[in-house]
Amino acid sequence: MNTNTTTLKLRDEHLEWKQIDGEIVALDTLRAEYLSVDGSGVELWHALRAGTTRDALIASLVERYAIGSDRAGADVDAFLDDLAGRDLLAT
Amino acid sequence: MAVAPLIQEPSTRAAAANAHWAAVASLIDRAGSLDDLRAHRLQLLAAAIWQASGRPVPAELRRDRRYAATLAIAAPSVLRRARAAYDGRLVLFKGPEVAAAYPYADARHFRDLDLFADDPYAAQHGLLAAGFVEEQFPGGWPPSRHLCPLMWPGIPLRIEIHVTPHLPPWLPAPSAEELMADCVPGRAGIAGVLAPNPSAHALLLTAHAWAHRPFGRVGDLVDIATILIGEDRSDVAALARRWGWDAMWRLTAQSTDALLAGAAPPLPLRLLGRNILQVRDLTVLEFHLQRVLAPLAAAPRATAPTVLAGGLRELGAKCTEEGWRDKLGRSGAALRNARARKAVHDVSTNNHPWTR
Repeated sequence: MNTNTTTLKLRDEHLEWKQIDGEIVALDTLRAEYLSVDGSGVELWHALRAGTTRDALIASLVERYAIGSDRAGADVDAFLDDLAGRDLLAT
Repeated sequence: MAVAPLIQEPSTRAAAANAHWAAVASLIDRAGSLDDLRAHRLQLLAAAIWQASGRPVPAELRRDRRYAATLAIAAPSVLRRARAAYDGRLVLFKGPEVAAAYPYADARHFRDLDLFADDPYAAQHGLLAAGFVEEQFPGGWPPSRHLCPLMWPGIPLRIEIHVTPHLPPWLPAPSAEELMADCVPGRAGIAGVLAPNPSAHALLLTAHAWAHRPFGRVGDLVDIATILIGEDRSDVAALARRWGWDAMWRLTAQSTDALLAGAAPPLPLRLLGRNILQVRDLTVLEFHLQRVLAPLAAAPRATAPTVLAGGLRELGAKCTEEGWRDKLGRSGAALRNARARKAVHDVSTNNHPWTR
C-alpha cells in the first residue's frame, strides 16, 4: 500500500483529537466514531500529524523501543493499515 | 501547593489570573476527600492541578478526566455543524465557553452545548434539517427553558437551544435582546459562534447556579470568578441592577471574594453555606435549609414572601411519579439522616441528588 518514502499524513479535516494521560483520544467527525491510540501508536500518531514516511516511522520505533526493523515494520504496517481502513490518512 | 504560571508576560490580567488559580488550588486543598471535591465539581480541576504540580492523581480522577476529554473533543465539530445550519446569531454560554477560560485542558466537565439564537425555533428547525436529531423522551419534550435537546448521531453531546436562561423562579427575566446584546467572539474558538459579554455571562452563570442549587457548589463560584478575571466588576454590578438581579449578584460576588480573595464571608454564607466555606459535601439538613432560606438572601426584597412560600411548597411537594406514602417515607428518611452527607443519603434512598 505504502512505498517506504511516500509522505504519509493524517487527514487534517474532520478529525478532532487530544492526548491525555499518554493516550490519544480521537473523534472522526465524519463517521462519528471515537478512537483510542496508546503505547507506541501515540508516537506514530504525532509523526503522522506532522507528515512522515514509513521508513521514518520504522526507524523511530527501532530507536525508541530497541526492537528489530522487521518487528517495527510489521507494527507500523498494521497501524497504517488500520488508519487507512478508517480513511484517516490524507490522500 | 505550587501552581505553574499561566501567562508569562507581566500584565495585570496575568497577575489576576495567577492569584485566582492559586486561590482555587488552596480551596481544593481544603477539601477533605474526593467525594467533597466531586460534590463541588472540583475533581477534574484538582486532577489537572495535581498533575501539573507533579502530585499523584488517583486513577478514578484520571478516568473522569479522560471521559471529559472524550466529550470535549466533540464540541468543535458539533458547533461547526450547528453554525452551518442556521443563519442568525448563535451565542454559546456555560460549558465549553467556561472550560476554555480554564488554564488546564479537560478540567471542567460539560455534556451540553447551551445556545441562544436570534430565533430559537428557526435555529432548532435548521439544525434538524441539517441532520441533528431530537433526543427522545417518553411523552415528548415538555415546555421548558430550552427546546428539545438535539444530538448529532453518534456524538454524546447535546445541543440545547434556549428560549430563556435557567433562572430561579424569583428572578425577573431579561429580554432576549438584552441577553444577546454586546456579544463577543467566543473563547471556544468556533468561527461565527459568539459568547455573552463577560458581565452578562457571569450573571447567567450566577442565575443558573442559584436556580440549580442555592449556595450549592464551589465549582459554580469558581466558574463565575474565572469568567471575570481581569474584568471590571462594576460593569457586572451595573448590568445586574438593570436586570433587577443586584441582590443575587451582590451576595454571589461577596461569596466568591470570601472564597478566592480572602474577604469576610457575608452573613448568609456563614449561616447557610458552611459546606462552601469548608469545601465539603453538605448534609441533608443543610441542603433543605439552603433550598428554603438561601433564596431569601438573594431574591429581590419585595419577593421575599413569595420566595419563602415557594420554598416551603417545594419542600412539601411530592414528585410527580411518587405517591404520598413514598413522599412520607422520603421525608422520614430525610429527618433520620438530617446530619448525614447528602450524597450518601441520596444513594441510600435512591434520590435524584439535586432535585429532592
